[in-house]
Amino acid sequence: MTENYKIRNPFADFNASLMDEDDILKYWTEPQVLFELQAIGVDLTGPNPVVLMGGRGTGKTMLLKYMSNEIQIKQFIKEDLNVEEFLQNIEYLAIYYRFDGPSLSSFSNRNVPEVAWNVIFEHYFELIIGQKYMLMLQNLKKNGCLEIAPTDEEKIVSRIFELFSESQMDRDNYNFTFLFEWLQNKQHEVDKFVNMAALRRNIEFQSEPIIPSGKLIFGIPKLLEESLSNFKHKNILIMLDEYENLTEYQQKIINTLIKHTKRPVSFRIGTRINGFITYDTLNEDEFLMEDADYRKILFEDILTSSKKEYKQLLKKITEKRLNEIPILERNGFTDIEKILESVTNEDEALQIVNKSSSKRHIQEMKNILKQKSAESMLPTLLYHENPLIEMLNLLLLRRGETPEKIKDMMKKYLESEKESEDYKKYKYLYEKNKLALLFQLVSSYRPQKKSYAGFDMFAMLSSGIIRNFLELCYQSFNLGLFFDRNRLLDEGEISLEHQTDGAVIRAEKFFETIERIPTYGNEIKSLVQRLGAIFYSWQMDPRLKEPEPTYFSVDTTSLSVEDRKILDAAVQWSVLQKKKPMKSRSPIMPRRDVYVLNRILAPKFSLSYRTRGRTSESEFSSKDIHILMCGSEDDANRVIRGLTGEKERHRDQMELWDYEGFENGD
Amino acid sequence: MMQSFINDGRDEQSIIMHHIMQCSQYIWENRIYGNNVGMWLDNFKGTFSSQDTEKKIALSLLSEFLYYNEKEIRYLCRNLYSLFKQKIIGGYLSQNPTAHLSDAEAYFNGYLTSCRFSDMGEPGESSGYILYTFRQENNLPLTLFRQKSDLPTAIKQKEVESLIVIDDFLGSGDTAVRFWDDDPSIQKLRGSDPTIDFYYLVLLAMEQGIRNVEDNTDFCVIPAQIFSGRYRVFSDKSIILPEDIRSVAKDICKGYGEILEDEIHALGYKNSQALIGMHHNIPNNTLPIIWSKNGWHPIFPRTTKVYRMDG
Repeated sequence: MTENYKIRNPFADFNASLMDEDDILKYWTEPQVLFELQAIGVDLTGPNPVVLMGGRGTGKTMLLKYMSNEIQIKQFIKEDLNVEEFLQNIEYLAIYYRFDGPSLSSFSNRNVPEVAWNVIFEHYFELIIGQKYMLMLQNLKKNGCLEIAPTDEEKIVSRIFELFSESQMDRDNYNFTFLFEWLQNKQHEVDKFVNMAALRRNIEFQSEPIIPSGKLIFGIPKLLEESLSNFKHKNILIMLDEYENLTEYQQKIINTLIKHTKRPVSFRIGTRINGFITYDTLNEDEFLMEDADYRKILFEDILTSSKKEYKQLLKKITEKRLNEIPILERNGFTDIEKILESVTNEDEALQIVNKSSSKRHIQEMKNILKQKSAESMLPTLLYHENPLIEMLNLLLLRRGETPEKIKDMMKKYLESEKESEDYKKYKYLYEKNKLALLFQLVSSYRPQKKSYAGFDMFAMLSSGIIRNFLELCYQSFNLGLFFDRNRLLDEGEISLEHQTDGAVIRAEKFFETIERIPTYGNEIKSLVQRLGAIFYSWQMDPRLKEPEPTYFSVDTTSLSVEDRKILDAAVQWSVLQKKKPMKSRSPIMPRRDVYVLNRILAPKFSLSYRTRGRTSESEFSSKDIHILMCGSEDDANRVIRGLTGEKERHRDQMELWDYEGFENGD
Repeated sequence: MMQSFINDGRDEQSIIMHHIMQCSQYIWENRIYGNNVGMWLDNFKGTFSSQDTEKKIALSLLSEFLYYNEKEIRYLCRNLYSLFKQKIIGGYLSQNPTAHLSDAEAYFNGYLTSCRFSDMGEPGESSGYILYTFRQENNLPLTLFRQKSDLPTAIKQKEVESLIVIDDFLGSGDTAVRFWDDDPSIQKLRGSDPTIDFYYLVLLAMEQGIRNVEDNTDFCVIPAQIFSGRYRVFSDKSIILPEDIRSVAKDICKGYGEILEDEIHALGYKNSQALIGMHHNIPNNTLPIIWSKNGWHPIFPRTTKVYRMDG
């Protein structure tokens, strides 16, 4: 019996923005898959700008912070390496800066002309990055990574001042600290002006000198390269996080810097999906072009397209956290895959049926056979060892197949007559539909519910968003520690029930946060709620035309500007995930964008955690989308009824074996 | 193993259980876990209503349990001291309406040197524990904290003008009244100097208890937090339980309470009907079904001794 002492949930902290340097180092796990993208032209540490795009919690901030010079030096020291060799050993030096939304939005109001704001922001950004450079140099010096004679330091600082023609002052004071403080004071002058501009009209910005765009950003690294041998051939990475917080004109300014980046400087931009408000630059006939000006990494795509690597990454991340809890570390319970108990579809089906005295799915089969006057065939269609086989037989009966044919097919399948056509068809149908059949089985045995448990399932539910996975673990651990701590601490397992409860809680919390999305929260929440109803209804379709529907497609060119913005916001906040557009059924039809409901929401609506299939039902019109997002309850119900009732009309045309489409996440 | 409380349709009971889990994790300092709740619920055998009803009522009561954790107790100690300070400064300013706040501050500092802080009970009781925390939180010098038995001598020497008794919980007020009437040190103090001020500083106080103390002693009661009659679990205006289940809940709690304690104290000391606990102890004014150990698995056991937070 485990003693009743307090145990910290190992997954309690998961927001990199709130982590200090030590926490970043402690929890850092290298996402190898992201560092191995050179083959497709993406080099995280190389000279070409890279845009790291991903939803909240995908690990962008963690990665950018980890690459910063502060953490890299700490890591070097932690590994007991000779700090004097730090600069020789590292390929790049990086500075990290996170854009703070509220302070950036104050860089615009009507009291100051737009053109003036442009200049002020360019100047401000130079000051910020200039300070970051100086902090980096101080940090290198302080930790013994950079030895520099005071006269050399004075010369460098003096040359930096010359970059923007500042008159030479008392040069005796010239060092990195002096320049940092000078830049800091200049920044305070800007801050003060920005605050005053909100209150006064016709206010003039009087701080001098105004630093032109790029002077420090590109000038300082070039000077360092020229003056310090250790800086030769080092990429200087400016890592800008939360790019989506910049206003349009601010993005244009930085887009221009990215477009015209000068070696050894390169940019790394961390942003949410759709975080670029504009790709324009300050030059009217130029804009940022993917591949030509930068490479893009879409976190969710990279992580989920390489499922094996993603799972390995999740395992490594969780292992570090589990090792932090002494009792788990002592007992060797640090493998999340083992801790999260899992169950096969077949076993789960069996458990559900065995818990109930009335066999409802068999009753249903009996009813259909009765209508066909073939009740005597019932025993031949039963297979108690696996209720999913029985569910498949029920499906085939509903689709109009004869009991005799079903019996033959099942027999061939169970007896593994692999050469037979019946075997192949039955096997295909079983493999394709078994999860959907399990969902249907569970729904007929209410109040029992489908479990969402196991490492693989949690990895799927996380939708390529690492924080989602950690949150699922956090909720499961909370419940496991409270309700069943002996099992967790003595046996290293969390039950299926508590994992499922954890997944439901996480889904609810995710759903609740949707309405807090700026501007379009309510519309997105309505859309999600209504999509949940539609997908659930399709999933329960007795003929199961669409086995696990969790997506819709729409021709976005037909949407109104406002509706498109809502969909973009839903993608930006990872409520929907955009997949590659579907090929149109006809060459003259437009390609339709595909939107998948974030799988983390699946437990809320009792939906499948996979995305499969392709049928016409999932094709929404622009009017449908508008009503589902902005329509009244009555209108939305009408659309939902239309979309889910549509299936009724297709029933008779449905072919037994017809299935073409995409699979994602099997 | 406990059943899944959330999976089966998120019914009312599962929501309450989840709430209790969150209370334990975020407020109750992880004092209880699911197995503790399970063992506690198993006490309810269906003697006074159906077992299911008894368990549901018990869970509802537990979800309303008002617990003051270590952080809150420390905060209350600081708050109590500032209330005391306000009282003294307020008195001074009403006597000296033209005085500056800095004068009042100086007056209070002088007044403080003539105060002595004391507990009410024996070492190891919760009043003594709170006295220690109170001193620690307000950075008060040890010299202001004397044994009660030393006080008469100090008063004789004109060192002391006020006695401030510190306590954690004022329920019926009987303990304070008894202390006032019977404690030999207090008797001596009252006899030796009739001008001496008596303050009773208490973290948590029930309304009827404050009245009792003020009516029957010369203590000036300063509570950090007052519980009105609405905090009595089964009172007509109770905010703890909804009206429709109050009567059946009372029957259940009274029934088990009589088995655990006696008829008079079945719903807490002298029918206090409190549902309150603190980091260091549970007052006996709280319903015995919560804390009693008489052949019962308490959910928050009441201890006879308390220990310092730091050790």
